[in-house]
Amino acid sequence: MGRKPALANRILAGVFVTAVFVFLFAPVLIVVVFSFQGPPRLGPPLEDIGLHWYRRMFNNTVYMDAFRNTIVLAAISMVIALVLGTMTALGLRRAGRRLGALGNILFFMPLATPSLFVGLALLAYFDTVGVPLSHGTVAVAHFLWVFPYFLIVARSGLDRLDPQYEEVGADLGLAPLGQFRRIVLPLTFPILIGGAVLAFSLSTDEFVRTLFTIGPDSTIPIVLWGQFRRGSDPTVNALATILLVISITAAIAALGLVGARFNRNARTSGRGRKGVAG
Amino acid sequence: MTQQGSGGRLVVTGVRKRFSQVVALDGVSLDFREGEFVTLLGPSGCGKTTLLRIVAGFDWPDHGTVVLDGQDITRLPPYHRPVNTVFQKPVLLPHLDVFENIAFGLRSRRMPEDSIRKTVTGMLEVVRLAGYERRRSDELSGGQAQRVNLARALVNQPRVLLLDEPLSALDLQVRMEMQAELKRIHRETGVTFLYVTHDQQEAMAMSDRIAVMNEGMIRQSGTPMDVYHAPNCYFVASFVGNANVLPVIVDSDHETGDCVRVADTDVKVRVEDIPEDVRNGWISMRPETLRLTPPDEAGIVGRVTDRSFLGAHVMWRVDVGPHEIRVQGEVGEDGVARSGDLVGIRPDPRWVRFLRD
Ligand SMILES: Nc1ncnc2c1ncn2[C@@H]1O[C@H](COP(=O)(O)OP(=O)(O)OP(=O)(O)O)[C@@H](O)[C@H]1O
Ligand SMILES: [Mg+2]
Repeated sequence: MGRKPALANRILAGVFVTAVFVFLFAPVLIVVVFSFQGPPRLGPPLEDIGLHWYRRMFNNTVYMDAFRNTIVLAAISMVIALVLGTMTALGLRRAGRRLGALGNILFFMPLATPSLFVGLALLAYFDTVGVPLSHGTVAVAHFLWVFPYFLIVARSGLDRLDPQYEEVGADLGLAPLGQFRRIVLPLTFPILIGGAVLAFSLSTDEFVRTLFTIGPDSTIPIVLWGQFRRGSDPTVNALATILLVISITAAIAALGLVGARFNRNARTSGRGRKGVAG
Repeated sequence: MTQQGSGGRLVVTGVRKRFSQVVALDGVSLDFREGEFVTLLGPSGCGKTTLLRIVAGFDWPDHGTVVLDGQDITRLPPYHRPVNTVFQKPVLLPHLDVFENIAFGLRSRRMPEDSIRKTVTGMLEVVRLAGYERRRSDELSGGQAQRVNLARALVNQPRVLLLDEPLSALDLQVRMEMQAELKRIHRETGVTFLYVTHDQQEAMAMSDRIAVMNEGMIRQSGTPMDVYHAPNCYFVASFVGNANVLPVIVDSDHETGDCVRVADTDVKVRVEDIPEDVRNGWISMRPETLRLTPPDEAGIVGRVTDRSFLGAHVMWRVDVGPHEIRVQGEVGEDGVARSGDLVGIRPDPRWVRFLRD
């Protein structure tokens, strides 16, 4: 290939990468750091380091209710998206090219629709059919929000799975359900888990649709928003830090799973599946 | 592992299959004896894989039936057929090791654990992979992977084993080794083999019977010897081996035996068994059944355009009128004629075949 890049180039590249990282992570760092300070400010100077605001957060029932709502909502919409999305992806894989394209358009359209519009539409819809706003209605809104994302991830995994693996299963005596359990699932579950984690985290910080459909309850984003309107204290920093830790842990776990599997598949396909179409 | 006579009697009748534009199979019938080794031989795209997939149950034919040991299995799903497949690329399941790949079919039939252990271990002996139980699929060579593939199919004691170009991805050395191995396993298990290849050498070396296919039809089905020396049509003669196939016109007078004239020349060749009422057709002559002679000692005369040394043989190309005839000789005969020489060619009438189409 080419020669080693000149020193100047390398320095330039280094500066650029550093700048990007600072830009990306500085705000995050600020939130985390100042969640540990004593005085009721969001920013510097950093004084009186301690867990003061964490204690306050855990003693605040409004925060804790919102926290529980957020997690339950995310879990419910994740599980439903996982089940229905996997089934949809399997179906679309079998469908012909034209039907598959139609499926793409229909299922991915929600991604291009403004949240405000969707929130309003759902509100109007629930009102029209006479369903009072509740945990149920907001769960529907969240499911509709995370489903297309999960579907994209699930399809990317399932479409790449060579259908010949299922034929091997059929050849060795497995009916379709068994093929799914013993072949498709073991070969794609890391991707499905990855999609589920994505769905979970998308749900935890959804705001606009939640605001329209949740009724009297709250989730963390809603509480934070309300808090800021009244003037804020570092409890929100503490809350945000907890959320950050949860989602980073989930993401790393998911990446670990997916990455391990991808590496193995890549090595296998390098040899055994030469010239495989699709 | 020896289970003599466990092979199934497979009867394929009038099978047709079309994929939107393409007619992949155009009325295929084939009858297998128990334990027979039958090879489908034909050029790319002639429908070999399609026929195999129909027997396996992955595809259904538009017309025709597949009957195994008297039972119509045409519409039976693959997981209910006593038939197993060795796929072209060794599709080992990447999440399982060698042992579990081979045990897969037994597990889906819920065989007890200790029988599974015994059966799989025995099968590993058969394919000579004892000690490889815990290897993963990416830790095997191509030949080893294909052995696992074979073991995974055979361990289910199928009545018919389908093999779709199982050796085509292997290099020559390993391929020869695996050919011998497959023949041994066929002999020892007695399973009916339906084997697909487009390598004629392989087909000749391994099969009890070869079915030569072209454009979705079986053109000839017979022993390797039959197919090679007694081709029944232009396609088989030219596809199998390297025969000289020349267009001929049948002489009106048959007094001196059946005689044909090669089109656009004065060359006459004696052929046996020309059907009545046939005016023209083809003759097929294998290069190794022809002899070079001095030009005045044979009926066919031409000029040598090329002489090539093929290791064990020498091959001459001789122009006879507008046609080219290849003649094969033994090493040592290579001095007989050189490029530019005028030579005679003497066919052995026993090996000249007349083909009507
Ligand atoms: N699923 C399919 N959809 C459309 N056409 C198909 C399909 N499968 C096979 N065909 C067509 O049917 C014909 C026969 O294909 P087949 O795979 O049986 O050939 P083959 O003899 O196995 O060839 P090769 O030696 O290259 O493997 C080909 O023209 C092929 O393009
Ligand atoms: Mg094929």
